[in-house]
Amino acid sequence: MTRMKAKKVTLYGLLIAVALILSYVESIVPFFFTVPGIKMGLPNIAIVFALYKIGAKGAAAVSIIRVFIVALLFGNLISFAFSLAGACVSLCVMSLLRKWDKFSCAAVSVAGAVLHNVAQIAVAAIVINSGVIVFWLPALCVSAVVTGLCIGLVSSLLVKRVRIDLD
Amino acid sequence: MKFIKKYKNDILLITSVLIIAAVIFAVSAGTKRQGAVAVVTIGGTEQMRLPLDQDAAVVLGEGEHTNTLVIADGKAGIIEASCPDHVCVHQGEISYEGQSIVCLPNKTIITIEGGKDGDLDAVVG
Repeated sequence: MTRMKAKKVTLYGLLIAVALILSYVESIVPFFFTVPGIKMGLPNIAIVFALYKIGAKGAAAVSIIRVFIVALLFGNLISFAFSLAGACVSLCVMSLLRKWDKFSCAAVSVAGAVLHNVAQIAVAAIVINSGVIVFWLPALCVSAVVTGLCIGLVSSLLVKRVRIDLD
Repeated sequence: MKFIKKYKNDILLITSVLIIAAVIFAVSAGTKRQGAVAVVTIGGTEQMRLPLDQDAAVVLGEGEHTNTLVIADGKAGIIEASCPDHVCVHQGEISYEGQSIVCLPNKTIITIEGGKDGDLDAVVG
């Protein structure tokens, strides 16, 4: 029992560390087009992996803890609100789609990426008290499809090849 | 064929996302009109309206939170900002109806609005 618990703690810690490193890599690699907010979504590799390997609860833990630590390390209150909203919404959608079991890992990741952007646009609309930024959504959606697909393919390879036994 | 069958749901999902994006884009991509104005909103209240056909340079905001808005050649753009990330500066120039530049740190939005009654190309009937 304690052995399993130790394994679980180690696994979660490992996944959070990976997600944090990917967040850092993402923050130093410039990936900037004319629309702000376009990102690769690298940390989502760890989240999707967690979702498929240890389930929705585990992925939620990894994702939320990552958001908190990233805000403490590199962020401020506004960026925290943005990433928390994005993380929660995309996590909910990805868990539901995974449970529904009609889509591949890559499509689940795409849906997560798109909804991540939608949530962030919604928060931005509240912050600036105006709906005009909805017009950024098309560009963000297209980029989310592309990046989400890449991230999803990487994740599905990892899910297939990395073996984890918690027993 | 096998590929399409296997990933039917995935393809449907991605296509629908792209279609929704295209629809929003189509709605937002209004045509460029004469008499368009740049509307400056700070903190949710409208501050000023600047016609795009007159060149101008204005410093928006006060104290430490400022953005310098320049209107030239019928386009509006922010060339200088007090914020650390300069996202608004990188957004370039805007001139079409519905386009906007947003500076989150300074809570400033520049939106293009066009189309007063006098701007119609033609009235039929």
